[in-house]
Amino acid sequence: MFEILQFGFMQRAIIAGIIIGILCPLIGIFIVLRRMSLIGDGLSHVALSGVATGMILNVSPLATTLIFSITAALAIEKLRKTYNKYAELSISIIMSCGIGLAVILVSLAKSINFDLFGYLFGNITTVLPSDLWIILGLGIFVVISIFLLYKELFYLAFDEEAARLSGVPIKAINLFFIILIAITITLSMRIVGILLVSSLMILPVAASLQIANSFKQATFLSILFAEISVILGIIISYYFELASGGTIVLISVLILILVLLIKAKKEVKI
Amino acid sequence: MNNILEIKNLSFAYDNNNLILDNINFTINSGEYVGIVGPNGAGKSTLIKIILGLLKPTKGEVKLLGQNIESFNNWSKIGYVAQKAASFNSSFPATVEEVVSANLYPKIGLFKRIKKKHMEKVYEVLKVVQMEKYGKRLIGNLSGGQQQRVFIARALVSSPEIIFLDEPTVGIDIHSQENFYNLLEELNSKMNITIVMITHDIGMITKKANSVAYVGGKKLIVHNANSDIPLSHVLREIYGDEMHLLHHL
Repeated sequence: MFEILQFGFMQRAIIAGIIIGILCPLIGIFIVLRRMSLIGDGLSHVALSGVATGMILNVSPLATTLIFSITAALAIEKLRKTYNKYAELSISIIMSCGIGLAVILVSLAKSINFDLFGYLFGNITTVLPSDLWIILGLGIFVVISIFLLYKELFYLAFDEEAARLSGVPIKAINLFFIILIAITITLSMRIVGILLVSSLMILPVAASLQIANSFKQATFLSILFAEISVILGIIISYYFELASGGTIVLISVLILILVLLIKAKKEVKI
Repeated sequence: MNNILEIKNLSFAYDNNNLILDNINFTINSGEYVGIVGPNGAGKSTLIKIILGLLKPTKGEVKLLGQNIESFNNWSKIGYVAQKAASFNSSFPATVEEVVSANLYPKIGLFKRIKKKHMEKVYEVLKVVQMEKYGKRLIGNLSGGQQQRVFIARALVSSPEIIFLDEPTVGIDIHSQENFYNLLEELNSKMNITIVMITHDIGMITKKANSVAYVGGKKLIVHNANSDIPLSHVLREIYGDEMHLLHHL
């Protein structure tokens, strides 16, 4: 089984996968509990425009996607204030904008050798050595940021009004958090794919919420389930030549089903 | 006694034609227990939101602990307990100690971790509300009355001088309500915490509070033991002629 580790691209895929397996659920737990699940989809659609722009300009798609995602995240936050009674509308507006732009840019990039399928659904062979350094650097930045702001993000997720009244600087933290979401989506697209990245943010969290006895435990279990999905997904997708994103997400679904079955069995016994 | 809250010539309208509060003046002194009552839609919750800086008044001034609310920053001295149903998602995977310690976060500071002394403070306030045995339990698994005790503990943990409560007994059984009112009375008399509570339970609040602010018809009328006007007149003014006061047995 360890023979796959002799290939450079597999080593990079596994290292990137391990980082993404921490990032996605770590961001995802706050997204799910704040009922912002749609934001992952919204930003990932904009990310596709970023990839196409990178291809057309012949620069690193990771860099252009990062710029596009962060700009979109800031636009969502701005629109959220304009439509404060319809918070989800801001995500839908940016998502529509992202899809429209992506379709035009992808059609423009047709003549270029553009692995659209790999970006949409994940391709483990696409993690370049330069990408790995970016994923490693920004991944550590996101993890440290969440670790340092963990208690404030918890309070915002639990009760935003009470957090604001206790003196938590909610505007600054909300803005910073949405930038962290944009970075996470950009870093995850090589492994899980643009269309499936939000699934890796949500499915492990959904499973952990069924059995966790505290917020800390829910965070730990979400990361554990995501890591199992990513590592198994990468290995299976290599041996069976499958799209890595789809395989990872299906393993996450299986874990969720397993957790639901175990919980149902326990409840019947009680 | 010090003025802990001072409202001067306050008016509020959600839009230009919809005046909710008109030229209200209201003062609360340190150590008081004040009830705020009035019909639905009269502006009670709006008033609390203005006091806490969540809404901007159309006209007038609000001073909390001597500081103008627009530049207020002494939030650790303020406790707030919202209506249970509106305040949190009951399936949230948080333990009682995680919920209570949350109100210490601004005091602990950004980028810093919770220490042993903070957890000791958490259990100290959980003991005050008789919930110290439930620290490791999920908040969603507790009864409505127990959850409200936890939210009182959360408000207490930062050692506030004043606690605002917005209809805290909604959806809680009568026995738990009684215990809840006794707890507030204790916090007020033994710990000298100023209590300001919005409620519909006029019978109970007139028995427990030092004074009651009646909000209705865009006005606010304060009534207490020293008032010259009989309570029945105030109630007629606010609720109309059909209002009769029934006390709990």
